[in-house]
Amino acid sequence: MAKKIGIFICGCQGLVSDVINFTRLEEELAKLKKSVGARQLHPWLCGDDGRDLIRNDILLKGLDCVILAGCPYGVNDGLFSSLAAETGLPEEMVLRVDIREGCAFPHRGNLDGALRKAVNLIRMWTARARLTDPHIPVTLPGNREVAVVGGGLAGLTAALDIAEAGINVTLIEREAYLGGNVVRLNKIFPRMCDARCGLTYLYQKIRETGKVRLMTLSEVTRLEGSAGRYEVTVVTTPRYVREGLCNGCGKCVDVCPVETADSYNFNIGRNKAARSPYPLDPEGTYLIERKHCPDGCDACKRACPAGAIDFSRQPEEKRIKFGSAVVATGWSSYPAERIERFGYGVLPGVITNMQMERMTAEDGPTGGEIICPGSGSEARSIVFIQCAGSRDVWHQGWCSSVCCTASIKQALYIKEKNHKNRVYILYNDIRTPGEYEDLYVRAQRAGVVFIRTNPSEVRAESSGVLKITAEDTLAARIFQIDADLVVLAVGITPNGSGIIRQHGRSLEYLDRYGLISAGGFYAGHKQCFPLESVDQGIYFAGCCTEPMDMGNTVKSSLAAAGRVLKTGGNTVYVSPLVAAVDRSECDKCKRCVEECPYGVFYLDNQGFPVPNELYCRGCHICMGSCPRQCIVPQGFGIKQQVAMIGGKIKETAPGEPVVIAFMCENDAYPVVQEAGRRGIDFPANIHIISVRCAGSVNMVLIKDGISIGVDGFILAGCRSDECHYITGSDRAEERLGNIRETLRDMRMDQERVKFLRIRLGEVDYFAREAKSFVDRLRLIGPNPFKSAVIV
Amino acid sequence: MPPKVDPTKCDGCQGEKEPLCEQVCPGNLMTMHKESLKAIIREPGDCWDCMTCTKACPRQAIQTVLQYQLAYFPGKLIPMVGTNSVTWTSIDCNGKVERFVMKTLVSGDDEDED
Repeated sequence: MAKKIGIFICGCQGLVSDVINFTRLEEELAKLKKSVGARQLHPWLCGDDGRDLIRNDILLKGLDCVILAGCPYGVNDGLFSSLAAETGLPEEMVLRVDIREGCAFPHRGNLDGALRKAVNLIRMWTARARLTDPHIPVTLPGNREVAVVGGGLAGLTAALDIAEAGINVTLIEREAYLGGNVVRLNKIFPRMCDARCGLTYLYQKIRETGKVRLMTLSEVTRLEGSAGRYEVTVVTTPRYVREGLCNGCGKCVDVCPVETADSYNFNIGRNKAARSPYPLDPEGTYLIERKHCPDGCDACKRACPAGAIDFSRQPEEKRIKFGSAVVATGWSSYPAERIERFGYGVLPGVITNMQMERMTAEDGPTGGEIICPGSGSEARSIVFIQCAGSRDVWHQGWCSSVCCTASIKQALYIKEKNHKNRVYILYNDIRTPGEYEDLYVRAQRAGVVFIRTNPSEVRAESSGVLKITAEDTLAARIFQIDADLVVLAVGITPNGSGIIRQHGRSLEYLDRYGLISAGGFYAGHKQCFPLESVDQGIYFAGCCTEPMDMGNTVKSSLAAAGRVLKTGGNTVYVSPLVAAVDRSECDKCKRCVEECPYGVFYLDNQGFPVPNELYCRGCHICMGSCPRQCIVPQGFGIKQQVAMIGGKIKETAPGEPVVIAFMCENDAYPVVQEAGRRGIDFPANIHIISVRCAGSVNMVLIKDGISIGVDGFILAGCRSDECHYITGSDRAEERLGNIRETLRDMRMDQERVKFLRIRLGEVDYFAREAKSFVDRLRLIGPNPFKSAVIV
Repeated sequence: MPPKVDPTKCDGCQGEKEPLCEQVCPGNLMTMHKESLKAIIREPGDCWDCMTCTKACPRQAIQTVLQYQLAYFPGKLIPMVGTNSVTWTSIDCNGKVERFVMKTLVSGDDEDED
């Protein structure tokens, strides 16, 4: 409750004062008395004497809230917040009324209207200021440590960056080795360097920092807590070989009777249940994959001269506490056997691009020889089928963005090995963005044949040769190619996808406790919060949210590490914008619980909804939903909004309709400012209040306004798929629809309320709609409640 | 005459066990229909037209039809609840519309001017 408000009006060196008559404005504002401690009109508040005026008034008159009428938020913010800091006034007690972009600029042709509107706006903001309180800061104890889930390229990059900043990191990896998919690649584009070179460097640097605890063969089974105070349960499978005792003789592998498909090499070749260490294995000792062991077999135990094998070990469950996390669970290849027409899994000569990668690797199962897995003979004619299972309504709808370049890279391996080999790439569209185009050109020069087609089937001849039937869509003819080896360029399936599922909207992310084990990741708004998960303090890096190349993976990991450094700390600051429930008013109807797009509400033991402050994004959609208006966030909430509506808005000219517009601060309100800056005229009747989200507007505001005689309302939000808070603008439209029906029942014109969906830049659209709305209101006539009997 | 719930607007308070109208009804007459999950009135004859449910409904799904002694169809009484006031629109049997504003709370002396 501000007791002494200072109102400062800036002429902006004529930009405002040429339109708004300051003498008359002063007369009008002289009527504002209650809790107003100072009223100053100044030609230029940004200037030295203007700022001195504000500073002196704050200090000498003891103002506890300042209204600056002039430019809007976002202009000269630093200037005025530093002024507040100098005088000891909290930043949130400096309110800005937009009478420049929102009033003087667009209403140059309507001087009287502009003056009346400026008076109305200042009165509204004074009413708001009276109810504005300084924020009460809320802090919670936090934990500085970080967990990184996934030890692939993304996880290692993020872990190193965080560890180098001096923070302890726990890196949790499901496999026995680090490096994920990248360690199994032969070479990486565009420089064609060895994939393991960079990973080994990363790994060594991580070891040098001494800050990273590496947990391999470990899986996250449960996640609890909230930002700053997370706790995960990690189950570690034992290696069954005691580290330190194993001397690496390899006798256990020799005697092991079981042969299994080698999952490290994507099932090309075989390996045994007892295994020699993988490259980039932090323990570096042998391990036994118990799940493949036959019952009662202890051949390796008997063979081991060091007595290092111990079958009595049990999976270990550990609980790890940390403050923030980077989730980098990476990707898997799309299961190629689902694309039945290409015969993967049936025809031995059909392999995937990752198998091809292992086959060409020097340390791979074939020692770098490109052979047909069925016959073992050297492959002479190799066909790549692009978009296998990608960009396909029956399989994955998206483009994985790397497979074109990857196939070109593999074609170049083959050509470099033996330029007489025939290589065909059957593609839908070659997508080699940026510098990858060079590789495309190199492949063309090297004699790789590119054919634009979507093959219909792969069939095996009796001689063992594979026959591919397809239509060349450029030449419009059917053709057949004989091949020794067919490589399916299958796309990337994020481990824990969900974001790219259909339209990128999946409500599974609300299942926060199943988040890491079950998948369903939802990275936030792609441009604004690209790495954020639903939970604050948990960030995504790499391919677990969407397919990307290695360059982008590293970039996203560094970005996630940066976010972690910013948010992690021993103290967690709670945003003042978070929802808060007034329990004296709440009747536990739980509408807020249902309507919150992030599911932040839980019920306490008395049945009251309580928002989890650390998950709340401050969208205030719950405030809009509450039928008892008892959700009262700090700062600008429903109480202030009600006061603003009741701030006695007067007609801008006799008989003119009064319109109040609630505008989403992300898209709609910037459009109005843009209109003002461009000097695009819209009716002066419209008084604009910017809100967090269109969904934060409680319908009681509109009901209040109608009862006191406001003629029309505009509610402007984003397009349905562009709403920053997922469901906000849709909720707003739905609620407004109900109001319209009530108005119809009340024999009032439904067109008094209007919902606009505005996208950034749609200035003309806004001006046109605003004008037609006001014209329509003039036609409908005044609000009948203006002449209602007041009981 | 009892309240009439518009099933297209009622969302059963989002599947709550006890919708708002059920919570507020002083006669405990409103309940949730088990199958449709919409609010219904179980004893229409017992309703005494207090209109509490009509005012409380967050989706404006409930309408009270006036008693036939007062007005035949299309007579209606429609409340709209604001923060500090309730507005009433009364439509009598001849279609004549009257409007009233009732201040419900002492809304503080928000007068600026004197």
